[in-house]
Amino acid sequence: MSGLQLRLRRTPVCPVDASPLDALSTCRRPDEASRLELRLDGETLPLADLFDISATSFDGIVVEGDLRQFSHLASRWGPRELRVEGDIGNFLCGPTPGRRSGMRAGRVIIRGDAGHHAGHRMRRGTLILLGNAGHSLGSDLVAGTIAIQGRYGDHLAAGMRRGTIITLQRPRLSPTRFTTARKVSLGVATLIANDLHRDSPVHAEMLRGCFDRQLGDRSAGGLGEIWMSIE
Amino acid sequence: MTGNQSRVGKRPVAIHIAGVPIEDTFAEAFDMKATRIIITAASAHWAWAAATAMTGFGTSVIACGIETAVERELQPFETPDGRPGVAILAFAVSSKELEKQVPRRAGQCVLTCPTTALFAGVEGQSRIALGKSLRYFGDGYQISKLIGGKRFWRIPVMDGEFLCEHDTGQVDAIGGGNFLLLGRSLAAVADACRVAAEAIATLPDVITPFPGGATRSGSKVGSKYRGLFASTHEAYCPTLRGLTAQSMGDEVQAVLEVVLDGMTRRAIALAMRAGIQAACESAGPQGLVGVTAGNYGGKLGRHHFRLAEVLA
Repeated sequence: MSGLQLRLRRTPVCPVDASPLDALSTCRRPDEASRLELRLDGETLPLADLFDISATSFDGIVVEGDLRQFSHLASRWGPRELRVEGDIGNFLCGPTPGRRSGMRAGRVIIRGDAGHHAGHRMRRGTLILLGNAGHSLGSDLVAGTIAIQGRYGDHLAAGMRRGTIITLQRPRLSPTRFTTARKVSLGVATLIANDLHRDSPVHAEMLRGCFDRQLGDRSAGGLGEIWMSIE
Repeated sequence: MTGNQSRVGKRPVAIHIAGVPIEDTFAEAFDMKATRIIITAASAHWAWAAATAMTGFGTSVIACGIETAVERELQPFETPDGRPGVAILAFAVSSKELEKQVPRRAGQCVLTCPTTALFAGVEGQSRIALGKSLRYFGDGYQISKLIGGKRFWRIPVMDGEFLCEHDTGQVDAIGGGNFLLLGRSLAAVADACRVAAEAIATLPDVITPFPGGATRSGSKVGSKYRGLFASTHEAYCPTLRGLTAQSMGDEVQAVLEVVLDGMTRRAIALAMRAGIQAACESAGPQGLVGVTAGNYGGKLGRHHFRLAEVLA
């Protein structure tokens, strides 16, 4: 067993910077994870004070609980899988202030809702949102793939430069910043469908056929893509 | 299979296959570097068109840079993108030559071919550029995508996108496995060669890079001419009988050689076995005087395939 399971003991009442949890991407044993620390309301606490930590047969990290107060989770996540069973706060996979880019590798799966700015300045890797997201999903996206099953707020992909956002909805994008939707069938979509199939079969099914695509954000000189179901 | 003390040429016979004598000798093969790439397309037609172009002029490292041929056709369920495909093997005497030839051929023969995509077909620490080089054709509109730990390039082209894996692996391999069919007539030996090549074509990890799997211009090392490091193997040229020392009996009217490159020693041995057996069973002693193999006294390559052993 080299994976870890973290179960939140109690929901914090104040915001928590979750970026120190990025170190979990290299942890293999519960005692390694227990030594990590989080700052909570001006106080530094060992992770073991907040979470029950145990080993699991799944070769990745599973975090369970209501994490809506946790921001910047997976801000510099490494080449490993992170599953969150519950809701998560703002700036998921986004960089902490002062940094230019966020998540740089691996795979993050949220079985719940995400706050605002999920995928902000994400650099690489795959973010799968099985629930809803707040405003500014994928804003300033640098690269990587974001797949969302649920609804999301305004300003989708604002300022995106590269990367792909896959949505089952029809987003409202500015025609001055994004190309009009055009029907495409892309070879790379088959590979991405195979990659997403385990965690989001509905996205995989969409990508195996034709779908609509918009490119942008032209205001940022971007060549990012929004892939969406055909209307 | 039986053995006796008769001779086909200068060497004793080790065994017989379907009545055809097999000389007690060995094929001498040498170390090479190899890679496998997978071409897919909207249909098998286009996949084969690209593969045929890419493997053209890839018969011998003597002048082609690499030895390359189609390994086998792939069904959609065997390919990364679920489309019909073709697997190609390429062999070179050095990593440098492989790294030069593969991207060059991929750029001119696969990138150019309608509907195709290009994928790595083998893992290896050492890598050969595919999309890593070809992406620049995208002139800034190319898109990189990391999927399942592998990097792919999407290059906009006039039929949509050319999808190309970043690089492919490079592995140690063996080149120069061979056997020579000694025929009672040119027609008989040519037909036996065709049957041998067809039998080998069904096997994995091995190719026969010469046209139709066979060559008539078997060579020896060196030449009377300065600068030529291979020249005709006069000991097997029937028109020079009586003029030069011959390695075959008078009843031999034509000789053809099947040359094999393989990813492993076992792949070559199995292919030699399949090819020789198919040729002998097809032509019989009425068509073939015997089977022998090319070697240089063990001085050129460290991989020796004794015919009696591979056929045992």
